[in-house]
Amino acid sequence: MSDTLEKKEAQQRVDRIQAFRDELAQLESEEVLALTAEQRARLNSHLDRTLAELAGRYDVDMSASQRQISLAMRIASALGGLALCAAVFLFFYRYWGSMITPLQVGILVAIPILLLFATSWVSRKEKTLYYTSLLALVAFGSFVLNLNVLGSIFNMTPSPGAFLAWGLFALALAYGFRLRMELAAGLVLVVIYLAASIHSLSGGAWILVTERPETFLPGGLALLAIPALVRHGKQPGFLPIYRLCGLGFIFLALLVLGNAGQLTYLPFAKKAVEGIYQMSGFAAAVAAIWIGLRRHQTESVNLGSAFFAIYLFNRLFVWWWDWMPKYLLFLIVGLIALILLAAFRRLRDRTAKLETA
Amino acid sequence: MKRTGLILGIVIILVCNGIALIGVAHNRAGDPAQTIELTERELPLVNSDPENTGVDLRINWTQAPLSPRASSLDQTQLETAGFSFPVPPGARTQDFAFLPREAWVAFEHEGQRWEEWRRQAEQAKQEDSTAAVQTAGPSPSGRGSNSWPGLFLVDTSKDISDLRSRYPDQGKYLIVRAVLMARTVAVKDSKTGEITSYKYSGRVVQIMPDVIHVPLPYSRLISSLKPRTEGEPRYTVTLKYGTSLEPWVSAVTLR
Repeated sequence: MSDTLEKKEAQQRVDRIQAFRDELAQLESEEVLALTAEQRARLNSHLDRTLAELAGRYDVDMSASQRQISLAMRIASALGGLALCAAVFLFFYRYWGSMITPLQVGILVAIPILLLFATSWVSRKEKTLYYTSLLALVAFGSFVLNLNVLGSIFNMTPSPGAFLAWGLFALALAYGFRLRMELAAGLVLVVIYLAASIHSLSGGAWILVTERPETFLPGGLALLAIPALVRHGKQPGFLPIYRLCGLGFIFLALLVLGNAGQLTYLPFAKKAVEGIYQMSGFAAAVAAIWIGLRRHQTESVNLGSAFFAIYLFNRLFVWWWDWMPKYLLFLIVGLIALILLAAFRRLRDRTAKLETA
Repeated sequence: MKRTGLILGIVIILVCNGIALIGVAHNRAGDPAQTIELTERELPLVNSDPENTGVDLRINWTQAPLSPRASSLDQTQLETAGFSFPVPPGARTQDFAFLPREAWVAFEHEGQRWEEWRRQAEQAKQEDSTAAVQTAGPSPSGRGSNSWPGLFLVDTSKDISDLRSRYPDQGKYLIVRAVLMARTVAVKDSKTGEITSYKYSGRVVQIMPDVIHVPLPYSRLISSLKPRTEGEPRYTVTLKYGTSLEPWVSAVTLR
């Protein structure tokens, strides 16, 4: 069992123990159940020992306030990482004009390597990943700076290969140190590289890859396929990130194409293309919700629901904005929101039933 | 796993930097593909952050004809650059967005066409009409004609050897990689104003690279200068382009 899985299970057990204690107290106050003094002492001793062991081994949150502090620490770690990235960028730009080219190159290569060593050292020292995550983010930022400035120093023609390099580096950090933020960054960058390559192969200028949003669809689909094809026994928390990134690319591409049918490779008229992609958008959102429900993938259900609503409201505004009085349009949008709320509530109940089953 | 992450990360950093530096060495090996001398008009200083000590120059170029929405490349030139214009069945011509493409473009440096264009623009300005001009850098409107960039777009092709054979004078013509966009323009009847047909035209939206880094020791000569758009050029820069058509500064002289 991996550390991540163990920590998740440890946290679940702590939560179960807290819930058990609360419910036991409730049952005793309602005089449904009464433990003898000996039973109570034995139970408390066992539970306290278990909690202490879990806390010592996995650094789990023992209370709601601890959980809130942990969340704050994660946010601080991310913000701190971003601030340190900015510090590295600005420090380099402040002094690079006074350096000869070999020194510039040497520093650019050395910074991410040193930060990688620091990340690796810290990750071996801490049970949680707050400092590891922070340092990994700065290492990633430094590598972005490295290739970016190298391109500037030698006046290189921009290449999509840089996105592949940054993406692979982020994935190495993610899998090496079990970091989700780096995983998301790596997946996004690799999909951008794929899209730019497809655009380039089709004869387009890769720097204007957004002129053909269809180029993002293969990468998005590949991200959805990976969790099904590749086992992530050691990193089960990574699978939702794959699905979120994959669905995000697909939904956004379909949203743009549904509104700007001229940005297509399809040999059809603009209106026809928009119609195809609008239908595809709704179908994809429904499919994400349906598959998410069947496979207990909360993130797919949530993102599918959100984009279903976005597609719907987008269409309503496009169809009715010009000819319908605004108060009536917003009234209809409000009523539809209520219907959607009822539908999503039923969906939530169904999800709860499935999870219970 | 943590050791794997460390090793993999270091390998990626070293391999990527290695590939980039080998590319630089390959570009600069042998005789340069072209050498051209440009002034501050074509290579103004980039307005950078005061906390950025690097010195960069932007390649400033011009294309005509001369209105902000006009296009400088006609259908034949665009087809030479690799564009094709199939309109899907049932599509309205004006609703079709053509794929932006990379191609090679040739700029003439202070040539006849540029002189002619400058004279026309000067004349138009004096007549208090709109001196409609389109440049890649800051708009020349409001500038003295001495500060107008002397690189004037003359031709384009998807084949660099085709351009090289047509414009062999390295000191006069600068050939660079660029991104081109095509669009549909409505042709209207002059009397009724009704659209009678459509034609295709295009323009250069970006050249690559468009910013040139000035390394030491050349940067010392111009780092104290403030960016400006008026007046006589204050420096001359010799640019060399290697086999991959990536430039570098080989000399800077103050005028």
